[in-house]
Parts: sequence; C-alpha cells; structure tokens
Amino acid sequence: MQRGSEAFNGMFDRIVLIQFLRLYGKQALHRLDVSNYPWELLIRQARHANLLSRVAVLLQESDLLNRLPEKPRLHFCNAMRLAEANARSSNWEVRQVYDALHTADIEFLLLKGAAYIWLQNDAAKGRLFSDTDIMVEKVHLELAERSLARKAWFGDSYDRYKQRYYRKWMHEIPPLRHIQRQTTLDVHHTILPPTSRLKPKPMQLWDSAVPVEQMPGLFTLSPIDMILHSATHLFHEGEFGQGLRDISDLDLLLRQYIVANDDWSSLLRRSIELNLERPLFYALNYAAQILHTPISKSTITEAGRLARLNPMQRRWMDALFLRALAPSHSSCRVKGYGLACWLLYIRSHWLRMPVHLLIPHLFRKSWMRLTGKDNH
Amino acid sequence: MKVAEISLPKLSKQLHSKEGFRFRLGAFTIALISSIDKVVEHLHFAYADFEPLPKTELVDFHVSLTSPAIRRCYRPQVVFSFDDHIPFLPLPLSQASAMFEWGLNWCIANNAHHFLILHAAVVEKNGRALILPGSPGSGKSTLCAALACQGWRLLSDEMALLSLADGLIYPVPRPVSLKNQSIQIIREFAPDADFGRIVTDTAKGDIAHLRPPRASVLSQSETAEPAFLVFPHYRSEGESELKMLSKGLAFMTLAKNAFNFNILGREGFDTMAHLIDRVECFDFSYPSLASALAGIDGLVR
Amino acid sequence: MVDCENAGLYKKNIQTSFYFTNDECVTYCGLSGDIHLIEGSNARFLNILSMQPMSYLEIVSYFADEYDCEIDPNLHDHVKSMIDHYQKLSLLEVIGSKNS
Repeated sequence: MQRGSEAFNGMFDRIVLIQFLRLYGKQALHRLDVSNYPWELLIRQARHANLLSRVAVLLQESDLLNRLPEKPRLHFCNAMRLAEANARSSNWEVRQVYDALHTADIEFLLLKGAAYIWLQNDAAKGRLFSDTDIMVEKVHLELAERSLARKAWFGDSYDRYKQRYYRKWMHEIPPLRHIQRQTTLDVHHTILPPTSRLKPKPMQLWDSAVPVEQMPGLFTLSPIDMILHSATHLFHEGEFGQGLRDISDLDLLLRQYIVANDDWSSLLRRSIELNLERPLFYALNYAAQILHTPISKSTITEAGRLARLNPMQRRWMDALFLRALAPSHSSCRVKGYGLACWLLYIRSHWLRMPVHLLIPHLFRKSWMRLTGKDNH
Repeated sequence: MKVAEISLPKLSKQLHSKEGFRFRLGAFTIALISSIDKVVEHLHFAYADFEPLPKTELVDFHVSLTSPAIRRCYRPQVVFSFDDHIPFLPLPLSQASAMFEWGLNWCIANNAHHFLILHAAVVEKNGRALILPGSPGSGKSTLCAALACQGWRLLSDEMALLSLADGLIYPVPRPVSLKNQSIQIIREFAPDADFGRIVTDTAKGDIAHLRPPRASVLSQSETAEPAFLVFPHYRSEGESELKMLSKGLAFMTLAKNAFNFNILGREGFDTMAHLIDRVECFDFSYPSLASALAGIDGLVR
Repeated sequence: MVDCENAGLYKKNIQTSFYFTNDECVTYCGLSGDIHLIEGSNARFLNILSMQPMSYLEIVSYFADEYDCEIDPNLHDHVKSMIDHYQKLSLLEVIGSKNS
C-alpha cells in the first residue's frame, strides 16, 4: 500500500493545480516564478475542478495577483467576481430564510457553503455553490415548510417518484425553490439521510451548535462538527465532480481550527461520539496525502484504528479515492478515474439506501439520463 | 496569413490536431478542436478575414465540437464542449455551425466579467457607437446586418462588451446570425452580402450566418465610445417613431438586458450609470428596414 | 410600523448607491444586488438625504413643502409608509437615537 501511495504522491506532484495548493499550504506561493509559470494550465485545471475562484483568492492573499501577466490576471479577477456575487447572494438568501423562520420561532443551523460564507472562515475563500443548506429539528420540519411557503419557497414540480424518494425513502423534504429569485433551499433535519448505515444523532449536533451573533435562533455547527460534516458529505454522498474542492475545504478547515491549536484529540473523540470515525479517517488520510495538510502520522494511525477498516478495505479505498479525488481535467486525468467515480457513486447509494430500493433507483436514474429527462 | 488563405485540407488538419486551430477574436483568443466537416467549412468561410494566433499566446477559451461515435450512424449529433465541460444538450450534426456560435456566446457571457455584457448589437460610425438592445421582436439582428452592409463598423450582433476599466466598447465582430425571414430581407437588401449555408430545423427556425465585413474584422482591436442607445421595436404598420427615453427607464430596461449585471454588483451598477450618462436614449418603432435605416441615419447626423 | 418619530436620524444606507438623473433615481442595494427606479418627489428627497441625514419631522416638513400641503395625519401616514418601504429595501437606515 505504501508503494501505491508513493506512486500517487509523485503523480500529484506533477499536477499543476495540486502543486499550487500544496505550495499555498506551505505559505510558499511567493516562490512562484510569475513570468514563467504555466498559468493557462493552472486556470484550466482549476476551472474544471471548480477551484478557479479559490486559486484567485489565494493569489490575491499572497499579493501575487497584480504581478501576473494580463490575461491570466483577468481570468482570476473574473473568477473572484463570481465568488463575490455568490457570497452576496448567499448572505441575502440566509437573511430571507431567517425572516421566514424566525417569525415562526424556528431555530435553524446553517450548513456547508452558506455557513462558511456567513462566518467568513477560511473555507469561504473563493467558495462557489448554488444551494443554501440548513438544518432544523425534525419536529419543526412541517412548520418550517409552511413558513417558507408563505415567503414563496415551494418544492419544485418534481415527478411523483422524486417526491416519494425524498419524503418516504430519504425522510427529507425535496429541495425548495424561491419563486422569484429561483434560488434553491435544502432543508435537512439530519446530516445524513435517516436510511444511512451511519447514524449521527442530530441532537448531539444541536448541543454543540454555535449561535450566530445578533441573529437569535440562527446557528452554525461547531468547528469540529463542521469538519466532520464536510468529511461525511464528501466520503458518503458520492459527488466526486467536486472531490478536490471538498478536500481543499477540509484542508483549509483543518488548518484553521485544528492545526492552529493542535487539538486533534477533541476531533477524534467527537468522531466517536457521532459515529463518524470512518469519514474522519478518510478525510485526514486523503487531505494529508493529496494536499499535505500537516497531520501527524500518529493521529492518522489512531483515526485508522477507530475506523476499523481491514488492510484490504484500506487498499481498495485508496485505489478508488486517490483516483476520484484527483482533478479530472484532460491534462491531468488519472487512469481509472471514471471507473473509480462510478464505483464510489454506487457505494454512496448503497450507504444511503437499503438494497431493495437501491437497484430500482439506480436503474431509473440511468434511464432518465439516457432519455435526457434528468436535469441534474 | 488569414484563414481564407489557408487551404481547406490544411485548416482541417489544424482543427484535428491536439492544439486545435487558434485565432484572435476581439479581446479574446480561441482554440478550436473539431473533426466535423461543416465546422471546417464554416470557419473557412465566416472567419475568412481572421488570423491564426502565434503559439506563444495564452488561449482564453479552449472549445471543441465533436460528433459522438455512438450516434454517427443514427441521427448524428454535435456536442459543444468548453474545456471538458459540456454546457448544452447535443444538437443534430447539421446545426454544427450554429452550435459553434452559440457556444462562443456562452463562453464569453459566462466568463468575461471584466466587461458589462449587454444583449445588444453594436455598430459604429464616425467614432460614435450605436447600441441596439435585443428583445424578441426587436429585429436587432436584421437591423445590425443591414447597417453593417451599409458601411457601419460591426462591433457585435449579439453582445455589447462594455469595459469596467475604461467604459469603452470592445469589438467581437463575429458572423451575424440571421433567422427565418431576415435571411431573405437582407439578401434582397444587399445582394452582394456573403452568407454561409442555411441551417434548417433549429429551435429558432432557419439560421444563416453573414460574414462580418473585412474592415470590421481588421479593426477588431479598436474600441468605440458609446453615443446612442436605441431600443428597436418592429411594428408591421404605422410610421417610424423615434422617442426620447428617460435615462432612469433606459437604465432599468438595459439592466434586464445585461447577461452579467447580477454578477457584477456595484461595479456593474457604476458602469451602467457611466454609460447612461454618456448616451442619448431612445425607443424606436419602425415598420420596415428602409424606414429604420433612414431613422437611424437622421439620428446620427 | 416602526416608531419613526423617536427613531433618530435617517440617512442613506452605507450599502446603497444612487444614480441621479433629472427627476429620477436608480438605487442599488449592496446587500441584495437589487436595483429600483424612483421618480419625482421621492427621488428628489433621496438626493437630499444622500447629502445630509434628516430626522422624521424634517422629512415630514420637506414633503409638506414639496406637495404644498398642510402637515396632517394623512401626510404623516404617507411619510411613515414611505420610510418603512425604503427601510425594507435597505435604501435608508437610522443612525443614533433622538436621545443620544
């Protein structure tokens, strides 16, 4: 397994985008030879990985942006404009949701991108996303749906299958769309579908939630829970088109909240409390391997022990994840990338759904895609 | 050396290659890869006066038009991709040239945010640019084509690019897309005008591309100062009527016609304000091409 | 409705930009990214407000002059309604309080 990892490490080092992110992590971007750097390749790989805005922000932070040749500088500046527009739109959306739910006395948690942007933490840097994700207590779900409907958020006109998929099988309400702004709001009551094999208890997340200043009733996850949620989302939800972006989020969150105060034991302890040992192990293992996040070997070993994977499983997961998380632009796509993504996609559904629902669901999704009826 | 001077086989070979065919288009540089004959023909004809790019220059948009092998024998399709990303559903192969033009529009509208990008045609004469925003039924493309055939410099038939940095309009003098009856109207108006092959059965009906005038292509690096903003409305009856439009209303209407106004935020607002300050704003209804041209001539004199 | 009379001074919201042209004003709200067209007397009022803050009573006085009418409950209602609407659009905000 070690030999395999070394081979991957060598390969990652030759990918301009990963090289760049690793240099940023080492605070060594000032070493870049600005006139001779392969900017065009970096832009193409980053755009494809949905990291162009992030790279732009990191360049600006390191005072390099103004020294770039004109064309790459324009591309990066334009990518930053997109991120600023995204942040503005997200914060406005959060205010509207707050208006709707606060009047009904419903407390809610901001999740993922919307939380990073509101808090302006390090994962907010150049972050692009489209949906606003929030969490309410299960008992408030119906009232929340009604309060939001009063302010013009409605479930999209999904077909009956999709409605049943969300409500009956996933025990969630389908994504809501605001009739005027056409923005999407996902209202969760837990961070993993209740049909999942992992069962983190929502109340534990609420108990550690951090209130947002000057907005009573609005919360974000605690930093450690935010990291665990990000890890769970990546390693259990199966959307690898943004895999490197999600690893980059994890890298930035880990550096900001854990590396800074060296409190790995709290992170490990919390993963046990929430039954999220396995996603945490994957997060630490792959952030360290891909982006060289400074995590000690002993921490990763301990996380591995808690995850209870046998050596064969670890080899399999390495083979799949290290391929699926690499950037997939044609200039740097790894052999076996497509197959790895497909297998992980099946795995994520297997983790989310009981078997007797899985096969018909996968069949239907393929059919929708083939006939062009699937908009996602 | 211009595209017209490259032989078709040689052009085809460059389009097939890994680097594709590279050329400058106004403020942008494009690399196009395609093995579709219709695309080679379209490029050779409609981009005849453009020049290939030196290898050392950075490319803004790497695009490709491919025909998926699996459908080659049954209703062949064309797929547009921008650097491995496919923004549209495939179209019938016969619409490859239209797909290329739509694809380029998409690339610019979604990435070139150092401009405020208006859905409008822009032409220029005597150092003053005329912006013609497009809405359904406006006839902007027909008007734009006719003005270009009458000696106005064509800056764009589809997207007015207003620089955030200096407030000037930057050209993208591409082939003018004409639809349905407009094709016949312009053929009659300017019998010498160079049209490419007509593409039929698209979602918008029949489409043909008018080659941009050589002079417009040669001055594709020259910016223009905006002077007139005219909202055209084609009405089949009545007289031509040019009405002054309040600046406030012009601002609001033009903002709705801007592809990236919401992305640019305050920068977009300031750029729009600066534009509206400098231009005379009009609503213009016209019953025929001839009366439209006369009205516009009267305006700029 | 908000208690306008004791609110303090009204001024242009720091996130808002205005573009004035003749008798009109296009406003831009930095929080939402929305633009609005405001005409006539309201546009002139916003122009003055963008130069100096005004208290509620000063605003009422201003409109009494503009409309050439008495200061009566109808005018108060009209002004309160306008202030409420513009606050919701983030065009105005309140600074300080009457007692500070």
